[in-house]
Amino acid sequence: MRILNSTPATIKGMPSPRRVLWVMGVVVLLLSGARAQSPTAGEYQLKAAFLFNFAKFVEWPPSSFSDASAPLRICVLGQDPFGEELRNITKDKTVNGHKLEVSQVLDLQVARTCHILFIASSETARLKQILESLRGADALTVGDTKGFVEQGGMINFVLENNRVQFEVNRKAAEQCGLKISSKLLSVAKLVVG
Amino acid sequence: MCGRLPTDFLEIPWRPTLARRRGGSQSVVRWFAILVLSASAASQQTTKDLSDASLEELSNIQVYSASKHMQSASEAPASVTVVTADEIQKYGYRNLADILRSVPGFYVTYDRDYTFVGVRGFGRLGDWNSRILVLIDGHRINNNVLGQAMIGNEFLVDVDMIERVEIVRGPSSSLYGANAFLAVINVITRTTKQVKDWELSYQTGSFGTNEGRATYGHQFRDLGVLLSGTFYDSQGQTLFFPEFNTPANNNGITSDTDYESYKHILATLTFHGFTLQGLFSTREKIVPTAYFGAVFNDPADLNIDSHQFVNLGYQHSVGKWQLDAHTGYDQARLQGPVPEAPLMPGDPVVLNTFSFRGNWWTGEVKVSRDLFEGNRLTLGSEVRDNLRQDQGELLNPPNVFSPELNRSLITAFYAQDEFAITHRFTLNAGVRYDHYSTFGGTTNPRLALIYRAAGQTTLKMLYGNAFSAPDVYQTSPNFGTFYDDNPKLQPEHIQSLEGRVEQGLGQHFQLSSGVYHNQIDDLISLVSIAADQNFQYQNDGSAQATGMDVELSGRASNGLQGKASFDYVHAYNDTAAHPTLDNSPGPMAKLNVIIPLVDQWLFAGVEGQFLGRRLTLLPGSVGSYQVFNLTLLGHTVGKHLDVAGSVFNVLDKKYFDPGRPEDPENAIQQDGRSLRIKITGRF
Repeated sequence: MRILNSTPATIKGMPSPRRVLWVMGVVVLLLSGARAQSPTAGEYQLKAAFLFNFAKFVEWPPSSFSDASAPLRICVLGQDPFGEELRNITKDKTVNGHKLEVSQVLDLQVARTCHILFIASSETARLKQILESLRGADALTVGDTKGFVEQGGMINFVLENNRVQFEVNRKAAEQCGLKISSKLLSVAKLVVG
Repeated sequence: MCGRLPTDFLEIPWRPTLARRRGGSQSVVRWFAILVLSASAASQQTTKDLSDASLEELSNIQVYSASKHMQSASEAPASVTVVTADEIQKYGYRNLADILRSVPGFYVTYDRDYTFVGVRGFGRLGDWNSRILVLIDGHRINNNVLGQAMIGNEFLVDVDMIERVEIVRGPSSSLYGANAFLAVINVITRTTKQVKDWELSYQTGSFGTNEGRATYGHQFRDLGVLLSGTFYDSQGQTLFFPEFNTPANNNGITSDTDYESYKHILATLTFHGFTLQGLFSTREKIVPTAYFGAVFNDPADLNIDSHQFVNLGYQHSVGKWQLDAHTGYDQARLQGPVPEAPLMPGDPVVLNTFSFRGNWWTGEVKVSRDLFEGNRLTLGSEVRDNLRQDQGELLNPPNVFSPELNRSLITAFYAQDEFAITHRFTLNAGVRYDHYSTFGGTTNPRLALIYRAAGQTTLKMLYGNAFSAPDVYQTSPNFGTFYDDNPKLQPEHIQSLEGRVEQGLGQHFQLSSGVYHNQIDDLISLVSIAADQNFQYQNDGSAQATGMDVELSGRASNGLQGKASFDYVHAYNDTAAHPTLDNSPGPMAKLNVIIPLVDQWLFAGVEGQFLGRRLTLLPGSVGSYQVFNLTLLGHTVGKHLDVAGSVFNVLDKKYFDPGRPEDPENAIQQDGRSLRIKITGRF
């Protein structure tokens, strides 16, 4: 062991930082290649992707759009768990000619004008009241709470084996004139009504 | 391509370069910028991929769950920090000390032998971590001779086997008895829920360091089995100590005296309410500081610690009753040979070995019950039988180990009541009585008022007492002939008063701030006795500390999370000539950020720590410092393979910790920049 400088505690066996960072860079590039195979995602990143799919596999009555190019509105009621995920995933996307528009709503009257209404788990306590006040609106209600479809909600997210699954209350949707495609029903974990 | 990744990676020659490159830190910054840019470009790609996925694909993707500890911490009757397995991995923590360094109120001192922790301005040089209580899954691991809790590489569990660490500041003797003086650190290990079948891990790093771990976990119907073994080996550094800069001492340069190795085995069986845990840990460290007057640059100067325990726990609830019981048996050993210079020049070096042998048995039963709506009562009793607390020196010659034998019995009773007086107002009161066969009894209460104001505000008022029992090495020291026994030694006492505010700021941020005052009395200190020119441990001296802390933590749904904290504490002894305590940094600041570079599979963990100037034992001080650490972690092959690269002390800051009374050095230099690469596979 040679000591080349007089600094106390001279470091032994240390690879040069440049070399190691170069190695890290290579690792980053290699990992980039592996990205597509990664079957894991953030919970709300996944739920955002599901909401986008609900827009594709649910048919709204024509009256719910003012014209053929009117946007399809996805709303979040309560504490927004998505961060930017929902906006990222719906950005520049269209479904049947309708642009997707994401907004946070506070007012239940405004919520009636949404096509998809995600009701966050922060609203669990007043869920009954919310569903009550939406009666007659043609919003697809999507919940994040146990017992949501039993209380009259239309689609509910559940976590099972660390995977996002959903339950569907077909009757509740049909009562509001929404048609849920058989494709969506076949993937649902549970269909009631 | 991914399958070949690890081997390609390791075949890169690790040629040691001794001369430090100029502009090293510049290239660090440049490379980091490139990594961030390339990674964030790829990040947008991932979100798009998810929107293209079919419904079936989406329903087969696994979810990372977010931890929910933040809420529970604000309900606790104390200032609590929780560090999770996820943070341990993403910040590249190497041991428990790394975790504690990152936490408000805590700082760490390393003398290149053991690692010591200071809490809220109190980290007296010469202590053995006996003023903090460290638990592994609720089982106390402070040994029964020095009261020592191991926190550095000598800690008993591989940091990768930790599920979370709960750090509770302030006195908690009302629940835990001795050692719960400044803080309680409960290390919760992983179970078969978190380990699925095989996990293999390998790491290599600076200073000739290698570590390997193999873990197996499986749930066989009702029986959960988890087995893990770790081996670590580090050649260490060549060090320079200016105190020994003479030709006779190799000009203060010492090599091959910083070696360290450890082995851990952890086995946990769970069956219905039963948990059977066995742990084996041994660690060997060569001591380069020539402490206790040892010969300098002699690799025979080392410490071999070992600790084993077996613990059986049982949890059961019937109706409103909850039963918690455990019993365990521990064995702790130390062998510390010290090569001493011969009295006559030309004679051979003499090897004297200090050794202790501690065995103890513990049993504890705790029942709790909801007395009525919003009122929960807990009653408990604990027995600790110190079967063996032997310490002594093996003098060479005559090569005979003649330990001083000790044993003692501790019995304790405690009660705690948590009473939600209104939906906003909770009272938490507890008291514990401990009886020691050595010094008698001590009673320690705790009182906490928690008020949940409107909005996201929680106010806490906390008062507590605690004690630290005199340890065997203090009542009957047996390391040399210069010490007198003191069987009348009494415990140290602390009284603490703290006020805290915890404020949620929207859904992403949390602010926590507190002020506190600690009063410590009957400090056990080494006093010189005029009559026989010897030393004796006596209850002599007191200390006060007044401080504040503030921490902002935040978490976004895309995985971006972080915390920043600032602490200031003034710790002093107003009866002493030099009132400010040694090894007590006034200000401390910490910064921790996890940045998701590419959604859910590439993360950067960035840490910064600032510590103020600290006084040393001899007149003088070690300067303030700031240290930054960086870890890049990639999950790949569907989370089956993790690759992590860490740079510790990125800016290569030269900094020192104060030396201890046994060290000839007043200040001991700490590690400069070092690197680590770690690969973990799961299958």
